[in-house]
Amino acid sequence: MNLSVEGRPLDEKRLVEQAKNGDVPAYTDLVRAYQGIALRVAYLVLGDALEAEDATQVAFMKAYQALGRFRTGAEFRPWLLRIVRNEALNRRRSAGRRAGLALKVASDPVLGDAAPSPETVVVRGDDRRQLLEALEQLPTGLREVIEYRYFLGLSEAETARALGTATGTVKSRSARAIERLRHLTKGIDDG
Amino acid sequence: MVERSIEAALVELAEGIEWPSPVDFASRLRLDRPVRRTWVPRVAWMAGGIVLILTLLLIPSARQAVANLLEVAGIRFEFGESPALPPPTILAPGEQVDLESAQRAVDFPILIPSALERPTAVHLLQWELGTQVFLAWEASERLPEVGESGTGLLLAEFRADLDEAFFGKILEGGTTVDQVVVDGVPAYWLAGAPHVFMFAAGPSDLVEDETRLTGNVLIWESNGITYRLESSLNLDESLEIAESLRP
Repeated sequence: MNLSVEGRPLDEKRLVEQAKNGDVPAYTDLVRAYQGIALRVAYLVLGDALEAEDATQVAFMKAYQALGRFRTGAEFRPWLLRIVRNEALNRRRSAGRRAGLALKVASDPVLGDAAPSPETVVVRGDDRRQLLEALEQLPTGLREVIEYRYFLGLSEAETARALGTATGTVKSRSARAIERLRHLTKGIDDG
Repeated sequence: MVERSIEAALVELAEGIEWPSPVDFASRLRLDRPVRRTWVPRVAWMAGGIVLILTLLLIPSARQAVANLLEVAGIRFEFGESPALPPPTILAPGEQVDLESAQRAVDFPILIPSALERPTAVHLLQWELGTQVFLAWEASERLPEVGESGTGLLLAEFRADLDEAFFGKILEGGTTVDQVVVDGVPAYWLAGAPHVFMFAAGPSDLVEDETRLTGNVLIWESNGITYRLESSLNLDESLEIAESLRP
């Protein structure tokens, strides 16, 4: 599965080391590499684009301040995303319940060579809506694991680090979430 | 719908979500200060500062602002005269259990500092406000004894949203509180003069903690869990241990 919102910079480790030594352009390169996925992490928590933007911006500043304590050799992306999530969670506490995710209007991409028939588009749109509604019904712990794995394209290990939990927990939550989703969406593909 | 198709559908669903438009944070950030330690603006108050805060606390709007400034979920710092302290001890309250039993008793992963060996003792304190886990390390060359306790380091972990309960600390003049960062989240470093840790079941119902110590305390909250690390180590050493916590 390769869903990364953007590519990991080839020389990430070097950039991190330079940034730790106060090299602003190196940190800016890291920000550029991960700004897309960071914004999505904040959006998953907050459900509001402007709030997510503010949270992400502040998180990038906080991460910069905290770089001195980033452990050499650790993975940078999940460390950064954890800071973004924490910042977003702090904001959500005051904002209350998060708004659910929404589907793009007429969002279906053209898959394969042939454009889908109008019927296919409608069916797929309904399936998506049903799956998204099912996802929103999951407890936060299960939903987050699915979002990080499938929407953000993080590995199990990265998901664990970004959520501050164990890889085993991510594995078991992922399996439970898939099972719940399968139950909640029964019939999507069967009919 | 079989599992494979749920996974495939989720991958496809990601493309259909109305994500926020991309933002170029890289060109927006104004970072002109070199990275040093983890310091965010120093929020240290020596005795004079505490007097100032006590004055501010008399003004209701300022009281809220100060409380917000000092709050870690589930913990409230109060400034005032602490009772006369007995000789320092550092005791893990509650019942001694093994790590596995402690893990079964709480609904969050117990984190252990990878920078240290396994804890010497694990205690579980279960009471009406919730369950706290205490991990204790015997004093050693690396972890100098706190007072005459025989203990070198005590790490408490607990879920902070304990209904309306709060935890308070009474700080005497001479205790400094600095705001620092642990793994990107705000943390507080209490050092200097003795302080008493207090639990409260309500605004007028304070219960003194069984742990009384004179060690330095690093306290922070992550994912709804509050961590309190107490030892005689300095800030850098404490941060190193705090940031090595792993499930």
